[in-house]
Amino acid sequence: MDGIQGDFADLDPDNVESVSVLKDAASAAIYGARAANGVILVTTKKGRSDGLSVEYHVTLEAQNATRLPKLLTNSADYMQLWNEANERSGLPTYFTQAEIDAFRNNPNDPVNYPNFDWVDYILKTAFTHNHHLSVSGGNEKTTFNLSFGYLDQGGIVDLYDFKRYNMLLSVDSKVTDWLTVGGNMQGMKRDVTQDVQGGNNEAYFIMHAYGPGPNYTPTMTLPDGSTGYVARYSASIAEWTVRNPAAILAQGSKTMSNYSARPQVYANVKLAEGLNWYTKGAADFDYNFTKNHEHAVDCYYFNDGSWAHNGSVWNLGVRDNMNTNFLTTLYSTLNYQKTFNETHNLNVLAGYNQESSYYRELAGTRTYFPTDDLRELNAGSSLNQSTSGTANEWAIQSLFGRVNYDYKSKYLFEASLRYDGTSRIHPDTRWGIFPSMSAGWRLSEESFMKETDWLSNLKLRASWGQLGNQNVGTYPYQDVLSTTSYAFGSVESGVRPTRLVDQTLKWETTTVTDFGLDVSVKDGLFSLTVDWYRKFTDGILYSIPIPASVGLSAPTVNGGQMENIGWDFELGHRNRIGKVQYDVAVNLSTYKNKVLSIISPSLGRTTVQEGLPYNSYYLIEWIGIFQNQAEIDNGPVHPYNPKPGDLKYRDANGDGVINADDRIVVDGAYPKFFYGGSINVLWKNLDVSLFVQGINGLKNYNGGLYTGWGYIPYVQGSPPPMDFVKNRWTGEGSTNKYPAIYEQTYRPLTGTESTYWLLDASYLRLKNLRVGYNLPTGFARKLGLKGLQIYLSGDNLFTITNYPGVDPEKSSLGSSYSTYPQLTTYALGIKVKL
Amino acid sequence: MNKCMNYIKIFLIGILLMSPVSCADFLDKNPLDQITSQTFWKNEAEASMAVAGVYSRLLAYPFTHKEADFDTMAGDVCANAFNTVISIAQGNILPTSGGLVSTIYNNCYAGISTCNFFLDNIEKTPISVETLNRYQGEVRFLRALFYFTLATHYGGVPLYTSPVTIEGAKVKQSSKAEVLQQVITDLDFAIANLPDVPYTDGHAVKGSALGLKARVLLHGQQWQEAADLANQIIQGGKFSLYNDFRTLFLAVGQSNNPEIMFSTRYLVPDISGDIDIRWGWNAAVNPRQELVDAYECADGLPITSSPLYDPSNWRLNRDPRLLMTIKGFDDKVINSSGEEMGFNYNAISGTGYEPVKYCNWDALPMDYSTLSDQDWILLRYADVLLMYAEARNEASGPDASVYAAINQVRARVNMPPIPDGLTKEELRERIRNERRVELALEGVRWGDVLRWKTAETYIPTLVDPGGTRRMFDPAKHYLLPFPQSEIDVNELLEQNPGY
Repeated sequence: MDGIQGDFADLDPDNVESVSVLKDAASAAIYGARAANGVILVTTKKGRSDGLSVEYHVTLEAQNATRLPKLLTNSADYMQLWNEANERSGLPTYFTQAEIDAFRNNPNDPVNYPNFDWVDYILKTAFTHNHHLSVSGGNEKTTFNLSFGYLDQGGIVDLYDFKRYNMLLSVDSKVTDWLTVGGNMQGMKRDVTQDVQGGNNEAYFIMHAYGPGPNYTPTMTLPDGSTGYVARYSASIAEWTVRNPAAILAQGSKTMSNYSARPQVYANVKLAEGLNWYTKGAADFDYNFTKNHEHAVDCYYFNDGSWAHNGSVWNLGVRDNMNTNFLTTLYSTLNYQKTFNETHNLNVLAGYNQESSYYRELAGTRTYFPTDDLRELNAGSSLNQSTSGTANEWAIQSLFGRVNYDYKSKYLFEASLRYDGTSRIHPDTRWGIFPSMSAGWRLSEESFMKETDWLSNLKLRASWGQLGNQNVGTYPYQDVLSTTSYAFGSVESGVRPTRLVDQTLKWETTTVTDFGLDVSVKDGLFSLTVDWYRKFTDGILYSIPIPASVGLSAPTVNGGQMENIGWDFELGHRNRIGKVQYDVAVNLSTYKNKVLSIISPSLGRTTVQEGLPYNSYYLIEWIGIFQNQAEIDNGPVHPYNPKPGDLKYRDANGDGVINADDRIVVDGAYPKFFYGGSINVLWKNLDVSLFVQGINGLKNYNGGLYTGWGYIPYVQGSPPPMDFVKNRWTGEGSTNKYPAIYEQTYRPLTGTESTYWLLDASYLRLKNLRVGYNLPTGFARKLGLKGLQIYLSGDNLFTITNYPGVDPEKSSLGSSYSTYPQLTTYALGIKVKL
Repeated sequence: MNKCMNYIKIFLIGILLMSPVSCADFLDKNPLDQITSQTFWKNEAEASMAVAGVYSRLLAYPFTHKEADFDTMAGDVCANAFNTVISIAQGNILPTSGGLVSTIYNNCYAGISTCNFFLDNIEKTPISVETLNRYQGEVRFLRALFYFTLATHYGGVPLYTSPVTIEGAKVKQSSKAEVLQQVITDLDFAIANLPDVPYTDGHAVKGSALGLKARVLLHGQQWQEAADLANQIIQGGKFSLYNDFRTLFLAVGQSNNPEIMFSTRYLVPDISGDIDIRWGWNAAVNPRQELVDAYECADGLPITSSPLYDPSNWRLNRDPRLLMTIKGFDDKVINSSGEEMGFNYNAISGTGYEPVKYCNWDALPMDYSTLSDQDWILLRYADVLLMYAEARNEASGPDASVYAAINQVRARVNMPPIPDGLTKEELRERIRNERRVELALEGVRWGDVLRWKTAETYIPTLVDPGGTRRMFDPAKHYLLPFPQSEIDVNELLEQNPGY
């Protein structure tokens, strides 16, 4: 952001002037030592020298989860199937037939025999409003931009509230004809309130929406007539904790406050005509405070109203965590630019960059408080209190240079060189040299092509460059002993080795070769961009698999070589028919990843082997459902003594036994291709735009026992999805798609990592649709405005996917099925310009 | 103007020249809360920190309460949904089973690597020879404990006695005999160098090493040597039975307890365990009826023949150890302030029984903030007495010393002596049952049924709540398989037979 590393989450979109993405190594070369995977450049708005301008932008949004699993909400079925599942697992059943019948026979008694839909109860529509006010202006000497932003985002679950306050002041001033100075100051405050189990993005809490059974309600009338929270259905169900999100909400809250200040100043000194010295200094100060406050809440069993326990309190009392991070950046370049004979354009740049980060953390916990209202540590008892704290730091330092030359904008050349050092690598190997170069040829500028006046641009591009990556944790090479302790007579400090390190670690180097073609016909009536690239990564930073008998954790080493070969296509069409102006663009990207060499292959659920994509799925192949006992008896020996209705696997090596030797490589670790498109239409004062996006061929593995809530039946009691209930195996010949009902610990299902758990996460979705209307200028003037725009916008309005239940896009980012849902957003926005 | 420009140019050149010079400091960042190993081993204080580091490896499965997994495996306990070992205990043992199949392996080797690192470096430290020997003795005792645990469960395993590299670690397993030989060598060193004092502060003493060696010899059926060694402890007089069987397993009774010979130690809040939550609240340990029935009546007769046995109330007139080990699911208890406390278990017991041993009723009612600091006993004197009785009986048949040893254990809880005149075989059964009830839920029984080879006859008779019959294949189940991840990475490692 403005040349300094930043985080998108901190950005007020209204402050953004422009965003550009640099993918090839040559163009990314001067943007730092961490650009191996490309750079996104964000420029914030600055004031203009044409007088004062005031803008106000407000949006009002309503948000819903895009897709949610449809879970079984019929209690009698839920209980019946759980009993069946437990019987298959050889576990005691939890419900008597009389209990099940009571639910079955009283469908209209939601108080005593509920069929409760927890997903519907917990997930609701969120409302958000967002305000942005900016004042900018200036004269020829000095410009400024001052803006304030306020975001109040509600959650799709209760007790979630996010507020963000942004402030940006930027000033640029031409002090003299040889000196320009400027700077900006961003300030931000964020406040988040959420439930005590919220964690990151509420994922854990969403799990709780998928967890409880339909056969009880959030609260109940107790035998003494009062109202209490339900723990779960009955005492016979083994559980760690309450299965009731409403009780969790009642247990307290977690509040997070974040303040950050990002001052940066720069000076540009014109040393001579065409020679500029530019220096920028920036600091990024972050302060975070998290307070977790939990108190006991009495919870009861639904079936008899007896007291269960005081809630699912994991960490009773108050846990405070304070951390600060201080990142400083110094960036200085000397740039010489000159055009010779109006044909030779030369631009030479030399620069220096350094960044250093210091993080520190302090945390304290007290458990016992006299009342539930007291939330500060001092109010609690010191019994069993604990404290912790740590700090860490890293730094990088770089020297770089670049030469650009072009001849009549027809032949373009660029070469650059970086020399990067990092604190993360041993002094002997911490410096790396990374060269890059590129060339372009605008054929359309050639005299022999000038005749073809329909061809506005035809350019061939080629680039080659190397960049380094050192993203390996803060202290990957230091041979250190971890501190620990042991209770002899008293607790004594101890040290012990816990990890292996590789002191010869060096930069991971990515070499990107890119060939591109840009064609534009009739000023964009049709345009085409094609890129072919090969990213070759040498010295992959890789935590090699080691024998557990070493007794230490594996070191990160430069483990091998990998390549990504890909194509990007972008096709555009821009035209005007009468008063309708429109443009259409479609894009398609595809790449193939391949490990070229690896010093120690890894085998497991995923595998790293030469010739295969990195971390390819490595699973036993699921080939159907056992329909009868004879099929089991006559086939290869399966683990865990399956029954009819269980998963049938392929004996890949034909040895008559299904075991780890039958794992095969399965595709799906990477999408086959990504695609998207956009349409923009402008008619008079009305504009419409839409944007679609999709991926194809990505598969998510969803067999993790405790991540499967909402997908795997009866993960700690979670109801099975309706799709499974309706289509499950119920007897010989019924289906080969789903097995018989099971519960999560049933080993013939969940004991073997197989392709049964791979879910196709391909999707195509309408990412955004926007309709805007600009008030005619004359009319706006009458209102005393320079401009007024009203728009309606919708995000994620429509999705085509085979992914079961939840959102494929969001789910593919994390490992958990029950992650915070992707949101469908409906927004009304108004922009006013004074 | 020009002057100004010149200053700026000089300044600029200065910066560019200075920056590479300052590189060295700027990029030297080292961990702020860890210790660099190169500069370690400077003095006795650091050596003693390294010793504590080795001991800290005991704070891991299977040297903690481990949900009574070993008693579940042995068939004395069955588990509910909280206990993932049940599938393994029912005979579903695969290289990919995870759970104890991999944790025992991983954690023992984490311990061994810490021991080897210590032994490889300790001689650098300027400390007295006595201190050096004692430290080496303690660490070699712990290494023996880790290797013996591995050998018990996996048979032969890769044997390393100094720190290994990744490639160096990829070796074929040594034979079980070779591993046990190393265990004996380490224990002999420990016996020769550890102080011959009671066990008081968590540091292993000579008695700890003697006791462990007796257990190793017992596993090797070296009866006479085992008996001699156990006798050496008995004659040494450094240990004795503690008078209160109940508080032997609670923090309140464990400080300087004369019976405890080695244990994994806790001290709240810094080093706390979760045994109360897991055993006393989550109800993860459900003793089986067979174990309850193994306790004699107060007259010393089994329930099948004692006139004191009341089939309508299993609690009446029984060996006092029964109610200090096991309670009924709904039974209320009395805490140390005399209050009657009820339970709100997080599950119901599949057998109707819940543990008492190791459970602290003062922790009731519990929540997830409950911290436990009962030391987990790895070796105690009653075990040594019973080891003596068993080894002596096997080596030379019944004699007065055998009776004396077993009766001493019984007398502590006011159980009558066992009848005189038993044959060797009859006495063997009495000793085995005595071990079962005395050491119930302490994780010892699994090792016992493995070495007695009784697992194959007893375990298949068991049906768990829910109707699953347990399976035990004598062709393979006396050993665990190596974890698949280990086979994947070490081609020289041969999987145990049958897996």
